[in-house]
Amino acid sequence: MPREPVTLPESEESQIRELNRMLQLGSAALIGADGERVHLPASVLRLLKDITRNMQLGRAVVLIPESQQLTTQRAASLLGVSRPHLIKLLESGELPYHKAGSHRRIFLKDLLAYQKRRNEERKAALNRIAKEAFESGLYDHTTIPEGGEDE
Amino acid sequence: MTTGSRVVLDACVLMPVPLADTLLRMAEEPRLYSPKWS
Repeated sequence: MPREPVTLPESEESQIRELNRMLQLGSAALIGADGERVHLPASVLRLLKDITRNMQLGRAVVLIPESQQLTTQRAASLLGVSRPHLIKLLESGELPYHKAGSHRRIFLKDLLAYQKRRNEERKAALNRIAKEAFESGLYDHTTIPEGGEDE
Repeated sequence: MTTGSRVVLDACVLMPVPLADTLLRMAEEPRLYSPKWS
């Protein structure tokens, strides 16, 4: 497992481009040194697609193995919220947790479920706001100022 | 769980609603960027 970020050497750019294109086509297989062929499971394919796409964009890639149970700090950073906000989510019952001794732990599957719910609520809220704005005529004037002027 | 680049949005972009809506939808899944507010 690479702990150091892996970047794309210039000499491999065209290979990565090829690989990325191929992976986008969908289900793929690996052929080993002895000619043995193994079908790539969907989870591995998803990871590979993500890795090659990011490398092609010139980004360095690090794989961080994630355990099934998270500390409050790790859970907060995965959700992109502050630790105090995460504690609020735990104490209000929004996000289930359990105790390992005196420490709070969150199951990764609960965190992912919460994240999914949050995304759906966010999308619904955006739709509601847009609908209300449209109905109050806020979409009637949509002219964009020319020449990049602000006002 | 890619978060994209951070983009600072000045609160004035809240006003023309079509612009605000477009910016917020781009920040929503699949998260083209992560918004930070001024």
